[in-house]
Amino acid sequence: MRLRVAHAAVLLACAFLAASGAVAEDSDVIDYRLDNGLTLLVSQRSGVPLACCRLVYRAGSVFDPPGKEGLADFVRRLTFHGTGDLGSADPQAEIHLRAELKKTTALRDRQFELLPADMVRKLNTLPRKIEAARNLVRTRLKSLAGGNLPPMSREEMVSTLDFVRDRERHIRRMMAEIKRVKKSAHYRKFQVLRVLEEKIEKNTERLLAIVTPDPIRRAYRRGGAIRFASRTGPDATVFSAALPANRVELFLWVESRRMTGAVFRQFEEEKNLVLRSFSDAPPSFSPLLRRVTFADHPYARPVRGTRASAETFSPDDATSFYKAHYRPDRAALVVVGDVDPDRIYFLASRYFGPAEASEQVLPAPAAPPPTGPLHMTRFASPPCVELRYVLPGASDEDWPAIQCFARALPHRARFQEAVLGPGLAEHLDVSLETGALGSVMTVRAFPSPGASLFRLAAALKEAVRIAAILPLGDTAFQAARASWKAETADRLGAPGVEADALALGFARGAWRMAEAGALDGLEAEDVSGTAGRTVGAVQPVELWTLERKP
Amino acid sequence: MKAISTLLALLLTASFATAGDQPLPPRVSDIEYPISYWIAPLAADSLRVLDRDVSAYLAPDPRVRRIAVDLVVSVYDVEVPEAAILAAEAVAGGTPRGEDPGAFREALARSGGRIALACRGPLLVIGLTAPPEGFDAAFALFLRLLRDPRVEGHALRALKAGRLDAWRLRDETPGLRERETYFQIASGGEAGFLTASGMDVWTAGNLPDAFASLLSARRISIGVSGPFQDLPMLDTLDGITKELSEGPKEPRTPPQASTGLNKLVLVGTDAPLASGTAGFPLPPLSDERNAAIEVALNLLARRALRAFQARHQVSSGFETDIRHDPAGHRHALFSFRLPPPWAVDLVSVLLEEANRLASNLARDRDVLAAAETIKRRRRLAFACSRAQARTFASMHGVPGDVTKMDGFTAVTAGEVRDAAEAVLAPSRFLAVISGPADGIRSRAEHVGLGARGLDIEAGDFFLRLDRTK
Repeated sequence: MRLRVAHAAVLLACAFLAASGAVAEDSDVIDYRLDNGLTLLVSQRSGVPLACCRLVYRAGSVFDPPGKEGLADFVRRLTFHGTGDLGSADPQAEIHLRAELKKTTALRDRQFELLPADMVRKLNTLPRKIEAARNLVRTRLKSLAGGNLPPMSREEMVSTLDFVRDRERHIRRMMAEIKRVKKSAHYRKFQVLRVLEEKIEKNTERLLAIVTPDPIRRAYRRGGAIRFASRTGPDATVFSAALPANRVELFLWVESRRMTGAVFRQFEEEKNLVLRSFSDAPPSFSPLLRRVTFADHPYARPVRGTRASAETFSPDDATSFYKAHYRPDRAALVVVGDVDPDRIYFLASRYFGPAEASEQVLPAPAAPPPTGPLHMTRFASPPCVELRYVLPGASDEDWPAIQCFARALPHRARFQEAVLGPGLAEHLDVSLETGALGSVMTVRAFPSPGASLFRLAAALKEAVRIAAILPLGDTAFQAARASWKAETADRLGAPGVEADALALGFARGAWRMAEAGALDGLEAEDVSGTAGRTVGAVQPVELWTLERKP
Repeated sequence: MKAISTLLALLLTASFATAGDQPLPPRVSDIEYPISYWIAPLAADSLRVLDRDVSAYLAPDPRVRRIAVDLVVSVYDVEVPEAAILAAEAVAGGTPRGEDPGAFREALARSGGRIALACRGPLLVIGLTAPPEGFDAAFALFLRLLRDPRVEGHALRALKAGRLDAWRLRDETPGLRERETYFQIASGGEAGFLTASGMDVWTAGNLPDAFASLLSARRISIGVSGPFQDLPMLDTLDGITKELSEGPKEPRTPPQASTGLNKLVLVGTDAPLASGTAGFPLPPLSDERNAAIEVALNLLARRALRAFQARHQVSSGFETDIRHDPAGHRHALFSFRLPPPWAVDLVSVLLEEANRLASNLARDRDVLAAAETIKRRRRLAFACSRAQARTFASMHGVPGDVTKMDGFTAVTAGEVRDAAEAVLAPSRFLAVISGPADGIRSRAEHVGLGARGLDIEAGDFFLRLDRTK
C-alpha cells in the first residue's frame, strides 16, 4: 500500500526533507535520520485514535560490562527517578543538597574508618539497650503495683523483684561501659561522627521534601498517557507508551529529557530493591538451557544479572553506562498511529535535536559461537527430542535465508518422510528464536509410542543435515514465504504490535526485517546455499525429554 | 511540478522555522496539544444479525491488508472449563478429520490464512486472518476445520503438557498459587477450576464432541474486520451459522465472585520481598453500577498510589487490574511486590482510601478526571478495526458495555460514594501477602490493621498451603 506516497504532503515532505537528510523509502514506514544520528520511524495509521510510541536504545544486557551483569536493566530502572527539572520542586536547591550530602558522606566515611569498630558499635547500641531495659523494668514494677491486674502470688512477686534487680544491675553495667568508652582518646572523633550523621539525616530529609517520587510515570499519567512500560532485553532497552493521537509531544518531552539529563536519585534504595528481589530458589529449566546453548556468550546471562553482580553496582558504573548508551546515535524513536509524519519529524528535531551524539565508538559484541555437539536429558512430559542450532542473528545478511529455511523445513516432504515415515515420531515442530547477534533454530520431534529416542535423535539430526544440503523445493519455499507474509501482515493494523516489531527490528540492526516484504528478494537457491553453509555446518545441542515411569 | 514542490517546501520550511524559534515548554503542563476530534464508534452501527440470531459486528477497513474473522465463544457456563479450553486449543492448531494434515496445512499456507486462539477470561476467541485474495479459500478451510475437527493424541498430550508446564512455572513463583486460590482466579490452573485430573478426562475421542457443543448459536458472536464488502461477507458468515447447534436455552447468568472477605491472609515463604494481591470482588458485568464502580476504583488507585509514594518517598507502587476468569467472576485487583513492611503499609493505605471514598463525597473535578482517564484507556479497544470488531463481539449483550463512553462522564460524586460504600467496603476486602512471615505480621500489628476491622486474627492468618499437592 502506498497511502503515504499518494498523499500530497509526502511530496512536500520529501522536498523539504531532502535537505535535512531524510530517507524517503518505498515503504509504509517513513524512515528519517536526525543530524545527531537518531533514527525516526513513523508509520501513519489513519483512523486509529491513538499513537503508540517507543524509544529504543541499543543498550541491552549484551553490553553489560564484565562482572556487572544486570547493569543495563538497573540503569533502566534508575532513569525513572527523573531528570534535572523533572522530579524536583527546586532543582537548584537539589543540586546544592546533593553536593553537600556527597561531601558530608565522604567525611563521615573517613571519620568512621579512624574509629575502632567496637567503640562505634557500643556507643550506637548501648543507649538503645538501656532504654529498652528501663522500659521493661517499668512495666514489671507496674505489674507489682497491681492496678486492674489480678493479684500476684508471693512466688510471682519474688521472681518479679529478682528480675527487676537483675535488669537494674545490667543497666548499671552498660552505663559504666559507656562512661569508660567516653573517656577514651577516640571519643572526640566519635562526637564529630555524630554531628556529621545528624547533618546527613537533616539534609536527606530536606532533599526528600523537594523530590517528587516516581516523576516520569506521574508525568505520563497526568499528561493522559494510556499505557506506559519499559523493558530491557538482551539486545535493547525500550521505553514505550500509548497516548491519544494528539498527545505524542508528551512522549517526546519526557523521553528527550530522559535521554539527555537523567538524574539517578535514590540510587541506594533502588539497588537495595534489586538486591532483595533475587530469590535463593534454584533457577527454572529455561535459563539453564539458555546457558548451555550460548555457553560463554552474553546471551547466556540473565538480563537481571545476579545478586553477586548487582552488589558491585556503583553510581559511577551507572553513570558511565548511561553516558555510553543513552545517546541519539544508538537510539530510534518509533511512532505508529494517526499522526502526521512531518509534524512528528518537526517535533522530534526540536526535542531530540539538541542531544549530542557521542564520539565514543562502542565495540560490537561478537556473534555467539556454535556450542554443539552437546547432550542434555531431563525428566518431563511428553517425551521429546529437541535439536537446538545456534545460527547467525538478525543483523547478519544470512538471516532472511535462515528464517525461510526454518519455516520451510516442516513442509519438506523428504524431511517428513525421514522422521515420520518410519514411524519414529508422531509430530514435528520447528521454531526460530531470533536475536541481533545470534538465533536458535529448534527442531522438536515427539516420538511415536514405543519408538527409541536414540534412533529418533539420530534420524532427526541426519534429516536436518540432508535438508540443509539438498536444494529447497518450490512448494516448501512458497509456503515459507506465505507464512512469513501472513505473520507480518497480521501485525499491521495493530499499532502497538507494529511499533514493538519496528523497535525490536531496529535493536536487531535491521528494522526492515520486520516488514512483510523482507523475504521477497530471496530465491530458493539462496536459501539452500545459506542453509548448507550454516545449518549444515553446525552441530546442535541435543535435549532429550524423558517421561518418568510411575 | 519541481518548481511548485520547491516553493511549497520553502513555505513549509519557513513555517517550521517560525515555530522552531519558540522555546520548548519548560514544564509538562505547558505543552499545548492539538484538539482531538475522535469519537468512539457505536456498537449498534456495526451490528448485523445473522441466521439463528447470531450477532456479527462488521468493521470494514480498506486500509488494512487482511480480513480477520473472530468467533467469540462465551464459556462461563460450561460445566467443565478444561474441555472448552483444551478443545478450542486443539482445534485452532489442528486439521479436519478425514483430510491429509500436511495437505490441509499447505493449502492454508498457500491461501495466506492463519488460525489462532486466544483465551480472554470467560471468552474464547478463535480467529482466522487472510488476505482478501485468499480469503474465500482460507474461510472454506476454516469451516471444514470447525465442522469436523480432528484432535490428534500427540498434539493433545503436548497441549496438556504445556498447561502443566505453565502451572509448574507459576508454582515456582512464591505465593502466587495461594493468591490465585484465595481470589478464586480460575484461569491460573490447578488451584482454581482447571485441574490436571480434569484434563485427563478429555481425550482425542471425546474432545471433538465437546467442541461441537461449544459452537452453539447462543454462545457465539462474530467480529469481522478488514478490506471486505458488507453483503458478500454476510453471505460468507452464514456458512458459519449453518454449522451451529442451538445450544442451551437459558445460559446461566455469570455468578458474582465471592471470596473469603475482610481478611489479610499471610503465606509464609522464604522470598526476600513480599508479593501480594489485594482487592474486592466485583458484581457481574450486567450490573448497572459498573460505570460508577470503575470510576471509584480509578479514584482509589490514584489516591492510594499518591499516598503510598508520598509516605515512603519511593517510585514503587502497584498494578491495578480487573480480572475476569472463565467462570465469570470479576475482581478488582491491586498487585505488588515490595519489601515486607511496605507491602503491609500499602494494604493499610488501600483500606484507608477505600474508607475515605465511601464516607466522603469525592470532588466533582476528581470524578471527572477519573472518568476521562477511563475514557482515554478505552481507546485501546479501538486501536485497530480488528480490536474494535472483537471488542463489540465480546461485549455483545452486556448492559455495562465498556464501549459506551458517555456512561463514565455521567457518573456523579454521589454515585461514586454509593458504589464505594457498596462494593469497596472493608467487609468485602481481601489481601493475600506472601513473604517473610515475622516481618509482615509484626508490621500488620504495628499499623493496627486489626483495629480497622480487618480480621487479621482469623485462623488462616498463618495459613500455609501445601504447595506439593
